[in-house]
Amino acid sequence: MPKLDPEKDPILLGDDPPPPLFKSWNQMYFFVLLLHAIIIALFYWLTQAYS
Amino acid sequence: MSIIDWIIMLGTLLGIVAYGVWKTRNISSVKSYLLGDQDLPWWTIGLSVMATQASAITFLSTPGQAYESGMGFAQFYFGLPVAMVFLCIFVLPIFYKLKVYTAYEYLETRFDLKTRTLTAVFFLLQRGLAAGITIYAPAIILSTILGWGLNTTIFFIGLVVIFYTVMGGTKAVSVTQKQQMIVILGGMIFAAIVIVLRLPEGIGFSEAVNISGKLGKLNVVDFKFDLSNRYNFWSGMIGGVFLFLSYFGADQSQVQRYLSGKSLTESRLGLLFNGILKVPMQFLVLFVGILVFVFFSFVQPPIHFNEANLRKLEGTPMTADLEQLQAQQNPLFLEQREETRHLLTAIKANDEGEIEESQQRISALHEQDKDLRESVRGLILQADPAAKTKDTDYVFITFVMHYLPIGLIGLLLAVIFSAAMSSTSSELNALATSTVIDIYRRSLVKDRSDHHYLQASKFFTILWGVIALAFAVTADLFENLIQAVNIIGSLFYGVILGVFMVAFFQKRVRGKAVFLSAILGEIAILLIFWASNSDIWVRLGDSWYLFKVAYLWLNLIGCFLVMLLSELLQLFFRK
Repeated sequence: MPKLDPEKDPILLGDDPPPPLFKSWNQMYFFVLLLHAIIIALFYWLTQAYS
Repeated sequence: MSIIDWIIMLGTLLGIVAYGVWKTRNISSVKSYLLGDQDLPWWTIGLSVMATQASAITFLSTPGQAYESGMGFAQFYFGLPVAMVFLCIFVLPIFYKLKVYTAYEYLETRFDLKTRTLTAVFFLLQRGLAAGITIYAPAIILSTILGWGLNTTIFFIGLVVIFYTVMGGTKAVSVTQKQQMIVILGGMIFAAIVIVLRLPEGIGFSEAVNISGKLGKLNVVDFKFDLSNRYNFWSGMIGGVFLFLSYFGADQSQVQRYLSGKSLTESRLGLLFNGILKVPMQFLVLFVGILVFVFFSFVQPPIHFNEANLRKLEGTPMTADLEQLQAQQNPLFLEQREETRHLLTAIKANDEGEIEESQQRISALHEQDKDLRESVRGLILQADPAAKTKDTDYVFITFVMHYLPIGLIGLLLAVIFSAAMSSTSSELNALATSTVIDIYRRSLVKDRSDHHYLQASKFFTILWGVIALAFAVTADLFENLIQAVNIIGSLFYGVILGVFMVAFFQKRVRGKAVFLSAILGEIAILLIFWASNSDIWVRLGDSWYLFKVAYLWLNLIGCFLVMLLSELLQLFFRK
């Protein structure tokens, strides 16, 4: 089995196409994390508003 | 159960299985069988990943947990989206670049064969035991509810799963999981709507939310840092990230789901889809439990939710005691119902003083109700000392069987069976893949034809299925078995994750150092576990402390131990 040398052959990120809806994957990840933060904020509001 | 429910339940289950077998009828190579032609779009991957994680117990226990303790369990999943993003950035590109079948295969290209084999064996040990429990745990509840024998239920779930997993391999698992997940999500949404419709006159969705909120059930987020509190924001965000990184990044039953994607892009989108949808789905399942709680605030619930336990009291001297407790519960419930209506009136009038007083009165009534229920548990234990008296797992299924309309009962039972089958099929498929790819083809029987390895993959799927069934049918012989399996998982998960973390981030470390670290880390974890259960006292300064580490922390300790030891040993080996 061919050896992967991490010092010479780091993770290749460059050549995969961008995701749909966004220009880059970083924007996509940011969107997912932002959505998650909004969901937590909504949960917090629910906890406070109805307790 | 009516004939219509039987038709809907069996029709849904067998229809999905038939569809899966038909869709995968032309599988003829080991690559197709184990990686499913790698043609799956992101939504199939996302649903398949969710279905693998969601076992039947998720849909039986979680609403009961919300019924009893509120919504705090949702925080357990807060780390999941972060873990998904991490995997998309650092893990998926490597797996795709190397075109691996299993996660452990990567470890050979990064380190060596012995490290790959060791982690694969850790996975097989842990997941092999868990597969039996995935069948056994829901079978106990479903057999009670349906009046089937426990072994009949175990064999029904197990044999159907073995059949379609053997026939179609990974693709059959994924395509059936897509249908199963649609049934699961649809069924839970339908159930939530019907519960709201079945609430008494004058009580709608908004009233239900208000009542449950004032009775402390809508406590979704708790920012207070408290190590002794299992579910708060911090334990979910810190502990949860590690747990989900190891589960989604190093457990083949999940890795195999996203490796069958059409491309790296589709696999990433599938994982992110799971990251977006998982927390709201868990919220929905918990919220169904809250709605059931409000429903049973107006309709009298049984004094004990597990009917099979109550039947144990029939014909015994304790029957009279049970009747007496029931006679006490009836007026208590009426008083509780009146007080809940009173609370609602106070909420509508926005009368804070009255709301607070009403909350206190309801809380006192709930305490009395709890005492009565505890007394019933005592009676059951007198009749059968080995009985399991915790009945929260039966809350939701009791509601389903007694209060849902004909047709929906069959659908909800299909939801629960689908969840059991979807997670079991992933496990069997992953166990067979790792056995064939990491052990059999790599070290035992090399250089044989593709057809040989295809047949071997089918054989090992059957073998792991039989092992899971054997474990499930004998499971009731062992005490605290489910907890034992969870502990076994925690004994290995941390070390496996540690090996992967070293592979990804500690680039100077080589095979010899990480292999020894994994062995030493595993020994250390076993020692910590042994010491935690042996009443050992340690002296810190002038004080003595009982050495006790909760098993969930072993994940974190195992991971960091392997990372640290690898770095130190690598320094030593370079000299």
